[in-house]
Amino acid sequence: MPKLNIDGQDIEVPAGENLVLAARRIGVEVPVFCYHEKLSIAANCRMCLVEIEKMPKLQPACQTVATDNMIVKTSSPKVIEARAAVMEFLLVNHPLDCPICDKAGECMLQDNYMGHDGKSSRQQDTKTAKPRLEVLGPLVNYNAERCIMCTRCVRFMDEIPKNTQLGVFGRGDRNVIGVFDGKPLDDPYSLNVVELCPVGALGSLDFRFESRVWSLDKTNSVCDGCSKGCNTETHSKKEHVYRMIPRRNDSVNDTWMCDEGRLSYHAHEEQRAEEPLTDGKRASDATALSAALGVLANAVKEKGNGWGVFISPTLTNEGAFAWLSYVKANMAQAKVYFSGRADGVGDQLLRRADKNPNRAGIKAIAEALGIPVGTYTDGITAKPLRVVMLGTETPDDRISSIVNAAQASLVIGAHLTQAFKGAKVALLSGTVFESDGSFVNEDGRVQRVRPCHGVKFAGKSYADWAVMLSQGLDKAVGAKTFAWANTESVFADLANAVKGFSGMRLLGLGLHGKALGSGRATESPSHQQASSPVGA
Amino acid sequence: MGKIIKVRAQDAEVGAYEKAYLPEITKGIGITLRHVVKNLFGGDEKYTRTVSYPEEKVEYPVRFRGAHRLTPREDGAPRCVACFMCSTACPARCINIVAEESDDPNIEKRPKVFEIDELKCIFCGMCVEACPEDAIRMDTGEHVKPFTNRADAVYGKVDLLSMLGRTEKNGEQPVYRGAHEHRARQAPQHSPEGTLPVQDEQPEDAH
Repeated sequence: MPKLNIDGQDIEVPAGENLVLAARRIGVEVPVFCYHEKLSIAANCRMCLVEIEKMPKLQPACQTVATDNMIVKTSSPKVIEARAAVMEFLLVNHPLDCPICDKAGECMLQDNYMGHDGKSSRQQDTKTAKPRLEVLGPLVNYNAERCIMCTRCVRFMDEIPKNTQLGVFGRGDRNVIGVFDGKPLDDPYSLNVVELCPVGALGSLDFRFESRVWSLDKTNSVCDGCSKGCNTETHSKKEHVYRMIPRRNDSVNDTWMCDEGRLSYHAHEEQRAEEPLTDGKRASDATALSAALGVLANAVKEKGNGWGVFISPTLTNEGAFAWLSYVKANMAQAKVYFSGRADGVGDQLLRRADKNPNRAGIKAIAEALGIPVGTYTDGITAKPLRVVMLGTETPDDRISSIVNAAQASLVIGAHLTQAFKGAKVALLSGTVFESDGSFVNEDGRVQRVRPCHGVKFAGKSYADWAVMLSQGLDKAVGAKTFAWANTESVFADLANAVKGFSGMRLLGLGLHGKALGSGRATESPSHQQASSPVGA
Repeated sequence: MGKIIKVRAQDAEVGAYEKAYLPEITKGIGITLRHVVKNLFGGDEKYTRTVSYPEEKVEYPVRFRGAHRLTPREDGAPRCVACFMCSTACPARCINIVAEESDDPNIEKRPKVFEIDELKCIFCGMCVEACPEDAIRMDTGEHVKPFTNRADAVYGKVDLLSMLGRTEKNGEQPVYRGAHEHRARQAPQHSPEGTLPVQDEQPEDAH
């Protein structure tokens, strides 16, 4: 544990830590461009130069390991002058087209200029002209004029997906980042380079010109694209989601996220069901509700005998707990199956083949409630003729056809899929962007899903669990009813009933979630570094 | 906590003369009458003027902030690059912009929709100050025209472009200043499908 002195403060840091991180411990932020905690160190931007006593020249803080008795100055006149000089060099050929740059507002060049330079340009010659719109791949474009050659993107592709698709080409002020001939940047993690880029050189074609970043509202949530449960920051404005970017969580996704997850918000918006249906036709809320109550009354009367319940692993824990409790109390003989999205492509890094966000959570809940949940392929011979289906994201045609062919069917979901359209009664619930709740990822981490700012429930829809109470579905004839005031109270009951959740509170999950079974032990705030923008 | 100082308002002193009422009233009416007589029969000394609006109009001062307009490029397209500076600066949030890709790679970004809700607008002129391209001006010298329904109060891109500034109305050539004048030089042709330009294709001024 080396002891050193930074800006007059003595600190002790773990062996091998560099000076940027060491300074951060005492609240001193050393400006950087090319340095990223999760990537190898290039030390080529020279922004993090600091003065170290007994060293003849300034040293890059990112590459200098803290050692015993080091005396570091991060804001001596020499350092301040050096930083301003570095900024001036970086800006010599920078086009300063911030008004049309999508990075403006979250650009490290802007931040570091305001913090460490602030002078007008002395550049009098024509700035270097380079290609302004180079399409590197299906999702990423490149503006060579804005690039400062920090090589974060190149290092990312080399080190994280280990798929070298980017390189530095040319020398001097002619150098550009580029792809190799005939091989576009089509890696499933390609959009990470857009956040990594400290300037506006690499841009997302999905977000290009969609909105200025400062007008977006940011919500800390979780991606529902697969069972990994990457932590996200969802950016929304006026009821629409504009993009999802990764949020740092060292226990789940570090600072990365796959392209599939980032773009998953499109499907939610495009497929959103906005009105309840009866027999596939638009129905008024009252008609649909009374039809739904009729279906449930029969199910309760028959105690679920001959009924099939399809539960989607895209439901939140709260939704699953509420409905499984309902099934246990009122339809005990019903058979429960998983529906949900079909398996997709998975890999070693973040993407998982199971494209459902909450299978682990629903399994734990069902186990605790004593309800066996099978997948539909598990040797089922008789098709259930009467069906209740929760969560409609089911591309599985067999399940859709069962729902469509059933004598009685009630479907509750947010997406206008085949099952929703073909049901006798279809009621609305909320999407992941509208609802509050929690998911359990495949590693058993309980993570909070938050409703996005400004994104309202479409039509008369409610969160998965609240559909039951707000619509009065629990009042079906003869049914046992429940009384929950809000998502927290559902979660509180869930925590009491399910062992892995015991001791947890929904509001106590924090930004980084909690592992199943760690209820009381980690009630104190997480030791992890507070959520910081990925670029930092 | 700051100290609270109580101040008692004092009335002007009223003497016996003022209390007599009539002399003061006569004085006041006298002034009014003098103006009336002067302006009715004063000939050259008339100083108030009534115009027969709308046939006859009084020209507003040069700095009058009238209805907005979008200034055009030489080819008639708006100079606006959809940077959202005006809508960001707007305290009334009356500007709605949707951006799109421009055909010209040197312009890159242009507005697909540019709407100003003149009902919400408070005519503060912040949008004009914020614009880096001199693309929005309030130099028409005109009021927003009256409308009978709310939708008419939303001026679109075409409405805003069709209005003329005082300079154009006077038949003079307008002078615009904008950031993109500095970008007048041509960028090298971007190559499709992400292939890189060969070094020889770099322009001469790239050094």
